[in-house]
Amino acid sequence: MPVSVNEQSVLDGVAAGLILLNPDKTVARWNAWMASASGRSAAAVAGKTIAEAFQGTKVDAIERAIESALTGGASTLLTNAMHPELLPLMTRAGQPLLHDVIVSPLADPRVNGCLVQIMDVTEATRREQFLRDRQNARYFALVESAPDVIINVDSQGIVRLANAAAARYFGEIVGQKAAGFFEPERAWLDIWQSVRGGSAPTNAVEVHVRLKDRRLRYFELSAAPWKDGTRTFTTAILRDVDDRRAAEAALRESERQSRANEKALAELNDALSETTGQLRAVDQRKNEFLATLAHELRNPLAPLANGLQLIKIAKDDSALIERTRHMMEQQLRQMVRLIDDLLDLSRISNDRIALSKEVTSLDKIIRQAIETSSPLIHAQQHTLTIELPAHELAIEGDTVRLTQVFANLLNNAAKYTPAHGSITVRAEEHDGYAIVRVIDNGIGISQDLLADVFEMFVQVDKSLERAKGGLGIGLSLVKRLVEMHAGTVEAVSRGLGLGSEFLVRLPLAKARAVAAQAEAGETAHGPAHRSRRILVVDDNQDAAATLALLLSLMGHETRVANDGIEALEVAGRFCPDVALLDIGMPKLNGYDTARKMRQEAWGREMLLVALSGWDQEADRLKSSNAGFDIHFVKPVDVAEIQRLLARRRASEQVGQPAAG
Amino acid sequence: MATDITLSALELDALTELVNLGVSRAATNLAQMVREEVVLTVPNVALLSRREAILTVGRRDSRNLVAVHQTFEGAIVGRALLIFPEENSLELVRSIVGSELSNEEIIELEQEALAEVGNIILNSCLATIANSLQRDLKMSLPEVLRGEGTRFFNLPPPPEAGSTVLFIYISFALRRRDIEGYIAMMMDLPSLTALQVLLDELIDRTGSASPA
Repeated sequence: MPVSVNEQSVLDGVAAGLILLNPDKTVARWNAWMASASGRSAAAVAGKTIAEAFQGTKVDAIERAIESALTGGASTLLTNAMHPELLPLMTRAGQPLLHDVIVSPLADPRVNGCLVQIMDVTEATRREQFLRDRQNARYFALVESAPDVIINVDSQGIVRLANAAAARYFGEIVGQKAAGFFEPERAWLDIWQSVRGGSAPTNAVEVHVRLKDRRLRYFELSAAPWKDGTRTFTTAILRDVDDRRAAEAALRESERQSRANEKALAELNDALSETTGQLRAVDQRKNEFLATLAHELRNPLAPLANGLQLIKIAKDDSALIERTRHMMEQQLRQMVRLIDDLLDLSRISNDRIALSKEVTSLDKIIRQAIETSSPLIHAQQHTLTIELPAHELAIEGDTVRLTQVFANLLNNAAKYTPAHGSITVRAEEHDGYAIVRVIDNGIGISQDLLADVFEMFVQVDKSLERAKGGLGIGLSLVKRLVEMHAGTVEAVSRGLGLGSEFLVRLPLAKARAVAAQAEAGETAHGPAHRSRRILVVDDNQDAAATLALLLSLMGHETRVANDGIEALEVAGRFCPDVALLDIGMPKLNGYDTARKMRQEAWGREMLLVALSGWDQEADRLKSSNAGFDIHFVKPVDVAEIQRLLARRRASEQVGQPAAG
Repeated sequence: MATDITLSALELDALTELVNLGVSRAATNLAQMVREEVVLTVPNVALLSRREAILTVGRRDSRNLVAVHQTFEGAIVGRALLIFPEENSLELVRSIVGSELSNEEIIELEQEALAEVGNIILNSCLATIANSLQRDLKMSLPEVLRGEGTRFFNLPPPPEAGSTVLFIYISFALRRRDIEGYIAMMMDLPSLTALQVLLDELIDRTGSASPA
C-alpha cells in the first residue's frame, strides 16, 4: 500500500533546490533546501518572482530559461562553469554554494508552470579544482620549469600548449602553426606525421629552428603522440644543442689545430736534428782541421832545425849553405802561408774582413795570382794556359783580396792535379760581369761533395790534403771574398778523376772608372813585390822578430829594434820607408820615439805606424799628436800592413803625400 | 533520396523559415550570454536518409564529432542533435567564452559550454517550431555526445526514429570566427507525417493572413 505523504514534505526531503513557479512566474513552492541555501524562507518568497526573491542579483539568464520553459516547453541547463554564482547561495558551513540551475516545464500538461532545480556542484567543483591544481603542480614541476622547450600540438598542427622555455625562445607560440618555426618546415612535418601515423616515439633528431629574433639555432627534437579522449596531440621536446654543436665544432677545430701543431713540432724537431747533425759535422771538421793545423805547423820545424844544424856544420861550404838556405826559405814560406790563412780564417769567423776597394784591372789581378802560385805550379811541372781578353776588364775591388782568391784557386788546381797536369785560366766578359774560370784536369770532385766544397774545413781528400799541405779553408775564403765583391763562385766537376772547374763571376766596374784605371794600370806592379825598408820596434823580442820575419817573407827589407833608443839608432843608419812602433816600451816610449824621428831629416817623410793595445778615440788622438800616420791595434795583422803599403804606393804614384 | 516521406518545396521553405526564426532567436540569447554579436544562419533544410546524413557529417577528414543531444515530445516526437566536427568544437567554445582563456581552461569548460550553447540553439529552434505550429513540445535537458556520425544517427529508442533525417546546415559567426555545424532532427514516421500536416496548416494560415 503506497504511503500517503504530504507533497511539501517530499519536496523538503529532496537534497537539491526545488522551486515550483506558477504560469505568472511567481513562486508556488520553495523547498527547505532552498530556504537553507538562500536564507530566504518559503513564506518570505511566496508570490514573488525569482528576480524579486533575489533582489539585487542579476537573474536574467534564469528568467530567459523560465520564459522558454513556459512558452516553448524547453528545458534549460545553466552551469556553474558558464554562469558562476548565478544565485547568492551558501552552504550550511557558510561557504559559497556552487550550483547548476535546471529550468524545465512541468511534465503535467494540465499545469502550465515550470520547475527550477538547483544542483549543488560545490564538492564536484572542488574535486575538479583539486585535481586540476595537482595536475598543474605536476605540470609546472615537469613541464613549465623544464629548460627544454615543450609544446603540445593538436591534430591541425597548431601549438596548443607551450612551456616557459618555449616563450623564452619563441615568444607567444600558442595558436600558431608549429611548422613555421622549423627551417625547413619539412623537418618538422616529417617527424610529426610519422609520429601521428603511429610510429614509435622518434629518436632525437637535430633540426634548425628559427627563434623570435629570427636567428637560427640547432635543437634536438623528439616527439610522441598522446590521446585526450578522442583527440590526438603530439608533444614535442626541443633541446637547445647549438652551444654543444659549437663546442663540438671548436673541439674538432682544436683537434685539427693540435694535429697541425704536432706536425709542425715534428718538422721543427727534424730541422733541429738536421741542424744538430750539421753542427756536429762542422765540429768534426773543426777538430780535424785543428789536428791538421798542428801537423802542418810542426812540419816545417824539423827541416828548419835541421837547416840550422847544417849551416852550423857547413861553416864555409857556401854551396851547402845556399842549398840549406833555399830549403829553409821554402819551409818558411809554407809556414807564412799557413799563418796568413789562419789570420784570414779568424777574420772571416768574426766578420772582420774590411775591403779597400778601388778600380783595378782583372788582368793585373790574375797575373799577380799566377805569380804567387807559380812556385807550386812549377814544382808540379803543370802546363799553365792563360786566356785573357784583348781589352782589360776593370772591376772595383780589393786587389789584394781578389789576388788571394785566384791564387787560392790556382794553388788548389796545382795541388789536386797530378804532376804534368794542365791548368787553364780563362777570363771573359759576359753581360756586365767578368767571368774567370780556373780549369784543371786533376782528381776532380765527387758529385756529393760539390755542394760542400765551399764549406769551412771541408777537404776534398784528407790524406791528399795533408800530403799537399793545407788547412781546407782556402775555398771557404774564396767564396766569402767573392761574395763581398757582389760576385759568385761555383764548382763544376764531372766526377772523380775528371778534373775540376771553378767559375768566378764578378761585376764589371763602371765605364768612367775603367778609363781612370786604364792609365794607372800601365805602371802598376804587385804591392807585395815592391820592396820596402821596414823597421819593426817592439820590446817583446819575439813579437818584433816574427813580424819582421813575416814582412821579410813578403819581400821587404826589415830591421828590428827592442826599445825606443835602439830604434832611433837603427833608423838613423837604416833610413826605413816605414817604422812600426810599439807604444808601451821601456827607456823611450812609442810617442816620444815618434816625435824624435819626425825631428830627423830621414824621419819626416817616413810612414810612422803606431802599434797599440788601446783603441779609444783618445789613444788615436795621442798617436796622431805624436806624429804617427796610422794607429793600429795589436795584434796587428800583416795583411793590413800589406794593404797599407799598397795604398801608400798608389798615392805616391798619383803624386800625393802620405795619408795623414 | 531514400526516404519514406517527402516534403514539397513549399513545405521545406516553410520549415527553413521556421528554423531560421528559431536560430535567430537563439542568436539573440547567445549574444546576451556572451555579450557579443552572434549571427546564426540556416540556408537550407533537407530530408536525408540516415546513411546520407552520416556521410554528410563525416565527409571531412576528421571523423570525430561532438553533438549536443536533446529529445522532444508532444505533437511530434523525436530527437534533435547539434553536430560539430570535434576540431571545431573547441573553436566554438573559445568563441563563446572568449579567447583570453588558455587552451587548458577552454578544454575544461568545453563540456558545459557545448551543453549550454547546444541547449540554447536547440531550444530556440524547437520552441519556435512548436509555437508556430501552435502545438506544445517538451524538450529534455541537453547531453553532450562524442563519437562518429554512425552512432549519433543510430541512438537507441525511445524515442523511435524513422529512416529519415531532417537535416539542417548551420553556420555561426561569432567574434570574427566562422564555425560550421549541422542540426539533425530525427522523428518516426507518424511524427513526420504530423509535422507535414502542421506545416501545411501553417502555410494555409500565413497564406490567408498575408496573401502573396
